[in-house]
Amino acid sequence: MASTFRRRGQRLVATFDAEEIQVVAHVLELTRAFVAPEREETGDPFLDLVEGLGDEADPEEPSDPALARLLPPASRDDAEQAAEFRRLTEHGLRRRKAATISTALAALAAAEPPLLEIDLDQARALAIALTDARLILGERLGLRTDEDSERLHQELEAMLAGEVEVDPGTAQKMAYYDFLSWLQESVTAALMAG
Amino acid sequence: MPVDAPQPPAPPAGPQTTPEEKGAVGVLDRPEADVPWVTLVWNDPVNLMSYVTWVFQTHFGYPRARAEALMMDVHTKGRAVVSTGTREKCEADTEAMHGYGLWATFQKDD
Repeated sequence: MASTFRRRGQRLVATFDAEEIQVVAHVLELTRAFVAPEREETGDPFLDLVEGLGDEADPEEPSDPALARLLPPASRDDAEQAAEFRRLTEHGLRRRKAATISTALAALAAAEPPLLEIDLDQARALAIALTDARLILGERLGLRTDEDSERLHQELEAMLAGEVEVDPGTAQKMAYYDFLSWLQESVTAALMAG
Repeated sequence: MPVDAPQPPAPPAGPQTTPEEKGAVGVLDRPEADVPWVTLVWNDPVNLMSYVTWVFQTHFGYPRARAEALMMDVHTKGRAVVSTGTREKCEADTEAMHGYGLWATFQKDD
C-alpha cells in the first residue's frame, strides 16, 4: 500500500508496492508515446540539428482533443497568433515533455520497492509528467468543468461502495486517474514543504 | 476546458490613428514595443490547486501568498493574468506554462 511522500532534506521518500510503481510507469510510458514528437530523434546531435533546421510543426490544432489539451492554442481569439506560436514552439514543447517523462520514468525504474526515494529534480519531473498523464485521462473521461471533476469523484466513491456498475474500461481509467491525482498531490505537497 | 469550436480570427487591430486636423499636433501613440503584453492562465478541471500554486512559485518565483492568490483567481474567475511584459516574455511564459500542463495564452494588455 502506497504512503505519501515525505521530505528528507533534498530528497523525497515514499513507500510503494512494486505493482503500484509498475502501474505509474506504464501510464507514463503511454503518455510519453502519445506526446513525443512525431519525428524520432536519431540520437546523433549533428543529424538532429540538421533535421531540426526546418523543424516547424503543423500549425493546425491536433484533432485528438487530449493532444490538443496538452498542446493548447496560445490564443483563444487570434487564430493566426495561435498558429504561428504552434508552428514555432510545438516540436520543442513535445520534445521537452517527452524528456521530462523520461526523467520521471528513470526515477521509478531505480526504485527498490517498497522504497521509492527520489531527488528534487526527479520529483519535479514526476509532478509534471503526472499532469500530462492526468490531462489525457481527464479528457478521455470527459472532464470539461470543475463540476465534472466533482461528479467523477462521487461516481468513483459510489463504484467502490458497490452502489453503481461502471464498465470495466471506464472503471480502470477512473481508478488510475484517482490514484495519479493522489500521487501528484503527495509529490507536490512534499516539494512545497521544502 | 479543452478545444472549443475554432473561433474566427479577431479583426486586425489596426494602427491607433488620431484624427488630425490641419495644423493640429497629432498625439503620438506609444511605440508598439512599449505596449505591454500579458500572459493568462485559464482554469481547467484537472490541474490540482496545490500544483498550480507550485508552478507559479517555481516558474515566476512568486512568494507563496501571491502564487496562491493567483491560483484562486484562476479557480474562481476562470483565468488570471500571471505575468506582464514584452511580447517575447509573455510568449516564453506561455510556452513554459504549456510545459507544466497549464493552459496559457498571451495577448496585448487591454
